[in-house]
Amino acid sequence: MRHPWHKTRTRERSSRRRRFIAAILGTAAVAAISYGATNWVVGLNGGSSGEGQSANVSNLSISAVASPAASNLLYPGGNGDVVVSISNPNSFPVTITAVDLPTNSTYATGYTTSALTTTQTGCLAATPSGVTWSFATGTSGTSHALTNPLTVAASGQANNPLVVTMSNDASMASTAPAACENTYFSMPSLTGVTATGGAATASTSPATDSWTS
Amino acid sequence: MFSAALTHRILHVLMLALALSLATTAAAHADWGVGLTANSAAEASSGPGPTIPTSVTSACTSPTATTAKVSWSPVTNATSYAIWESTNSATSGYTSVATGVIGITWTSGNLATGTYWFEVSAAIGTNWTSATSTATAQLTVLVAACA
Repeated sequence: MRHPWHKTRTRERSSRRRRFIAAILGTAAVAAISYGATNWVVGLNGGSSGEGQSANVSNLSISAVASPAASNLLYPGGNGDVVVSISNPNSFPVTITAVDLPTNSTYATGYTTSALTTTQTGCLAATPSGVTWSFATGTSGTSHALTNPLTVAASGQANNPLVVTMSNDASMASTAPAACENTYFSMPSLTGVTATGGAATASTSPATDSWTS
Repeated sequence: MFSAALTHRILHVLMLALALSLATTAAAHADWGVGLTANSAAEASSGPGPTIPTSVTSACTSPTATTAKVSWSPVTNATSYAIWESTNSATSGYTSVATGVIGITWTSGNLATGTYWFEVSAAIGTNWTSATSTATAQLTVLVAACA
């Protein structure tokens, strides 16, 4: 016959075992839930060149802006500044580290004013104007690292849009037509950017940057 | 099966491992790739064409030579100059005698006997050119002499 305390010890061991197993199972459950909550499907958004998180990550947009006016103007055989405005629609900052360029035979269109509404006769992309992105090559989509990463603040925050002057990042061929004197240019569209979203200190607008190769 | 102390220790280790896992996972997914909308735009602008050269003069290289030296003031952003010569008058009959001139002087070859006027134009690149300058004073070339 077993002593009563023997049964008690047995029940205590069983109880501890159940608590232990329960702890293991609970931990595994929490880990599984946590893993599922921190991983989202990442896909490609149409028209973009990088990865976007479906439904939660939106593409940047880059538009032309006349102010501040480029102080480094284009002349045949030389380089000049380009001014852009970068908008970030996401709820988090986005940092740009590189731009992707079209080919060096993709030319800018000339306009009579900074509003870029009336084209300049004799200075069109098809003429050609001779104006391209600096360091563009014969291959479309080449990536060119920025000298300094640019961080565009989250949507609704200061410095978004971010206005940036890209120093010497436009080039004019020595054979540019005379019609391209005193002309404003709409640069060819970039083919993409290298950018990531996440915590970062936003750049201050207006900023200055460039790519040098 | 296990002592209470051991059970608590095992639980502590498991919770620590879970926390580390969550932190690692969160860090790995703190940055998401972001793309660019189509049809981005940017603006650049070009400067004016070259201005007309000023202070254009011509002179004999020596009293006994039959060559002339033409000089002028530099033009901002100009990459080269062109020289125009007339043997008719100061105001007409000019023909191009030199292009792609670098610097702010040009010396002719031996000139035939006669009277000469010179004008200069500036260029930036191949196609951006200025109008011609005002004519130099008349230069008279004689046999083995120039004035």
